Amino acid sequence: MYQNPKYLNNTQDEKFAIEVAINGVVSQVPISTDNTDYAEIMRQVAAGELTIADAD
Amino acid sequence: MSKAAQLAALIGSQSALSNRNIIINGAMQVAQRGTSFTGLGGSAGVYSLDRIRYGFTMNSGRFTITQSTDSPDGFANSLKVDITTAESSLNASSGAALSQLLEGQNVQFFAKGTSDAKQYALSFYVKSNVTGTYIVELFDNDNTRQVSKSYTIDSANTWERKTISFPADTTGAFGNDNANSLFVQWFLASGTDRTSGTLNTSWASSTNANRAVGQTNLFSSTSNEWYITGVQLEVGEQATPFEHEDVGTTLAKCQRYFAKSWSQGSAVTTNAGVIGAACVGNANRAFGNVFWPVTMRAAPTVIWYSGSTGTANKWRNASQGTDITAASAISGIGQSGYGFVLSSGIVGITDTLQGHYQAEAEL
Repeated sequence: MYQNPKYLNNTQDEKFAIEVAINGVVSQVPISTDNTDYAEIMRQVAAGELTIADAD
Repeated sequence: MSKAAQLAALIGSQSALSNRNIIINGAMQVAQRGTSFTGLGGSAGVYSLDRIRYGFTMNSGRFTITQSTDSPDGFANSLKVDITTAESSLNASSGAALSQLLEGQNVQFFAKGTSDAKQYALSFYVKSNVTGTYIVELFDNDNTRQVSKSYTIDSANTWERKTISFPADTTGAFGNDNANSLFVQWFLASGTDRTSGTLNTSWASSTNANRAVGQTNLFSSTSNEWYITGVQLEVGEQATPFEHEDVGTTLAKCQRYFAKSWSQGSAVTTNAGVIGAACVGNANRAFGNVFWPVTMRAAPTVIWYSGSTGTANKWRNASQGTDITAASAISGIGQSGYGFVLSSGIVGITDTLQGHYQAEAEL
């Protein structure tokens, strides 16, 4: 479901979102534990199933 | 005191006279994502009409959900399930169910987990060509407790109103927050993983085998259909008549969980309707803000679409006639809106940028 996640940085070079393809559509997921996509991405990261690339 | 006054006092002591229904979009009027969803069944967690979620997965069974105009008197719409690929012999793990997830802060008045816990009254209109026993459950997501009840579709192809009373639960309080605390779920089919035990009709720790015992298999034939509308969940022992509300109120409630910049009636990924966002170029940089129509449940997952081509993850530089990758377009996503900085693809200070968005903060 989640493919090719990559952090997005703001103009202060701080991570604020994850760019990730969700069911094939590139989406922007905020770094917020209340967001269910973010929670699931981090669960998969903790389980070793997913790796988030650094921002460009 | 007159009989009428006594009755009014009694009703008033049992439940609120308005805002009784905690189900959002129970009349199936709002369909921001579109009005037809095909090929469902292979993935769980898919939303269709607003606030209606598909749960579990089928082995081979597939279905379509549409917003239908087939409805009981007094309603304009219903949600229709149409089986497109049968699974007449269910895999043990197969399951199909529609649900609505509810925030903990919206269900505090059930006083769950206290000595003053209240009952739950669920009512809805349902119609199917497949008569028989169906299961609906309440699931306490905070404490992994659940209770199931059965209902019967008595007459084929006939709208029937079902009223179901669920008991109070003095164990396990709902969290008072914006997370998923309670969901109501209508089963359409279930393999033995959820049917091999005894139907759990009192609140208890969830045991999968006891959740959907006796459930009819709606996926027995591609001729099968199932409709639902007029859904209401309220406090008390007795269900009351469906509480109609104006569509603007329902839409605003739905937008707490899903919002889009397109006009209502224009599906996501089309380029029709009003452009949702624009900003003014300044040399090689553009700035802007987009505010969601209401404060959302949480900071949402956002998808940008070109305002011209409807292509995902793009903005449109209308002046240059090009789509710009939106990946560099944001600087903050919040419950109230979205602030962005675009630093590539801007040619001149008079460039006009166009984009559409969808923002999702479902439970």
